[in-house]
Amino acid sequence: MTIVPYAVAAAVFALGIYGTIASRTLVYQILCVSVAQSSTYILLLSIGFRNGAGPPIFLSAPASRVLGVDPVAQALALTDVVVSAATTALLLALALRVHESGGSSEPARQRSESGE
Amino acid sequence: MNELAPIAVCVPLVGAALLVAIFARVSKIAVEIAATLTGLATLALCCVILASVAAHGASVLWFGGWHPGNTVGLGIAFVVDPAGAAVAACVAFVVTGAIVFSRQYFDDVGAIFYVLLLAMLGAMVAFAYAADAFDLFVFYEVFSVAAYAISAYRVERKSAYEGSLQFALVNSVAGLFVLGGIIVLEGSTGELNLAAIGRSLPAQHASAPLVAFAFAAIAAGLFARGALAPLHFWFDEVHANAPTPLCVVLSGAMVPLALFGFVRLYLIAFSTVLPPAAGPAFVLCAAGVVSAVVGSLMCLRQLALKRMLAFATVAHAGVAAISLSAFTAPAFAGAALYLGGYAFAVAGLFMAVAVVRSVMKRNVDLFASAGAGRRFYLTGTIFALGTCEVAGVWPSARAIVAGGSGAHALLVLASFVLVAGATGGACARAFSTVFVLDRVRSKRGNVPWFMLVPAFAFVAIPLLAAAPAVPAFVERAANDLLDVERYRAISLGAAVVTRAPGIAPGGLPLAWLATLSAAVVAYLCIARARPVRRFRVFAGRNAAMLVLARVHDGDVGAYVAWLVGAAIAATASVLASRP
Repeated sequence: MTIVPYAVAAAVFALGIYGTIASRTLVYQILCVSVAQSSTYILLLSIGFRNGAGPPIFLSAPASRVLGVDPVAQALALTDVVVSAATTALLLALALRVHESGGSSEPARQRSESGE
Repeated sequence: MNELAPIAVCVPLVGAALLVAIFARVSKIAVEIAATLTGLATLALCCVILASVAAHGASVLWFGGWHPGNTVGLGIAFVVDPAGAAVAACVAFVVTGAIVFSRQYFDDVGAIFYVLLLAMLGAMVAFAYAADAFDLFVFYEVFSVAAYAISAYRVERKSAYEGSLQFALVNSVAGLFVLGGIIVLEGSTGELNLAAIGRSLPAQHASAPLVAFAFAAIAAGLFARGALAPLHFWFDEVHANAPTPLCVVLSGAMVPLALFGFVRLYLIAFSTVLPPAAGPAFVLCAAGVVSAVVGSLMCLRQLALKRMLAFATVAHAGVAAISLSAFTAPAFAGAALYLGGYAFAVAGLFMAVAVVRSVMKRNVDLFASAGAGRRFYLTGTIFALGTCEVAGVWPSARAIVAGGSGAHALLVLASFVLVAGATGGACARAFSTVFVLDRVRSKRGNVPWFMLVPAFAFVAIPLLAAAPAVPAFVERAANDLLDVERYRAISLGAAVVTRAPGIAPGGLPLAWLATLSAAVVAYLCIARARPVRRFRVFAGRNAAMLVLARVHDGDVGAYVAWLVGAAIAATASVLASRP
């Protein structure tokens, strides 16, 4: 295993987190969370990858003869995509509500003193 | 009986799905009954599982019979042990109480609200039973996403949407940290089962920095859910704005569940290669101390009652974390009784506040509602009983000082006295303002029984810990939780070696210091100051409080930066204290 996939994942993650911290628009901020999330797909696929291996589809019983990439990591990446899509959709819906109720799409920089 | 565990997870999830399918075609009352029955059925199943585990010990269930055997581990498992079963039963009780409570809390509670609560319940129960790292992450995300949706349910203020957006953003990033840590674990061991990770991790000597990173990332993600400072910033904002049933579930179920999840994951997966002394105990203890101090100070400063209770949760989670950082069975038992008792009590307190609010039709804070609850005798009793738990009067709270020895025991005692004094004093002040003073005209409405009955059950439950059977069971569960080899053996199907039980905790008279300090704070706040201005002592212009207030300024970017900083600090402290 080389260090390159880890480095790429770390860089994408750092970019996404930086964007989340620095964004001035809610939609950008949410997209940056998605970017950070996509670093985990890279990480998952790279730990399941094996040089020279084919897709993990085995038609005959003794599967050990055929070299395939790790199917578990791919299944996990798929689950991860679903989780991420659900979160992003919900975040965007909330951002829309913030925009509708106050006309602003900037992240809150002031603590609200209201509430119960 | 281990076949029941997946059923206890499926019942609320399938119930939620069926509710979505039928709610347009049936009457409102049918939806309410169906949701309540689903919650009660889950609670009953969790209790049966708990009783069975208490009688026969822990057991494992590999789904579809995919036992790892001698080949590669592809299957996923539930391991039901006494600690996990007890946590699941408590969570089911809290969520079921919230479901019953919701009926009269909303003018017209929609079916979707029940659907979200039931989905959250299923995921939380599954989180308590899961023995697989990726499963833990998935269930953790499912209950979080349901919570994000509930936090914005039927709220029509911009600040409320902003609060829930903050909640969702900060916690999504926290979820990423947990996922990143779990993937790194899988990458270095090729396993996802917690016990299997724990078995094969020691062989990976070369990846010490990676293991430290994985631990720190998982700790940061779970501490953010567990409301430990400095990752607690979203916590009071969402409590102030969200519907009360969510506050009940967050403070009463999610915080203890997240701390339990951290302890389970750390012990089974990491503890062989990273023993507590090599950093983890320090990280947990440091987060606990910061939470106890910040939570106590901010709690006294709040005018809004729900914010005040949220900070009380932060402070109490901190004391529990300090106690847990000893990693001994008596300390675990003390922390479990303390945090469990508090979780039920604070759920009852939130409900009592909501009862006053719903009858008065206005927000409850110390300025606006002095005397609003004067004629709410039952609600006042509930609030007083809850305050007793927060102030350390009941034995369940005082159990925290029973375990441990030496410097650690002193630290636990000191933080307990501080937290009970500050948060118990704040609750006593709120009680005297809302339920005793004679300022606003108190009016009587219909008695909302569906709100009062669960509230009363919640504040009464901590009293159960006075019965000797409860501490004895908790002690045994704590002992099993710490017995890492036993869990791994059960999980992977090896022979189980039974370890000698730990020492039973004995009560310490020093614990009454906590109640004394609460009484002093309450006296200073109530008797020595004029009624409405009494809080100003803590809202004053002194530098420390201003810095503290500025850190809680509501900037989401800063909160995410704290999360990153905390993960880096935890990695550094683990790497620095490795031998």
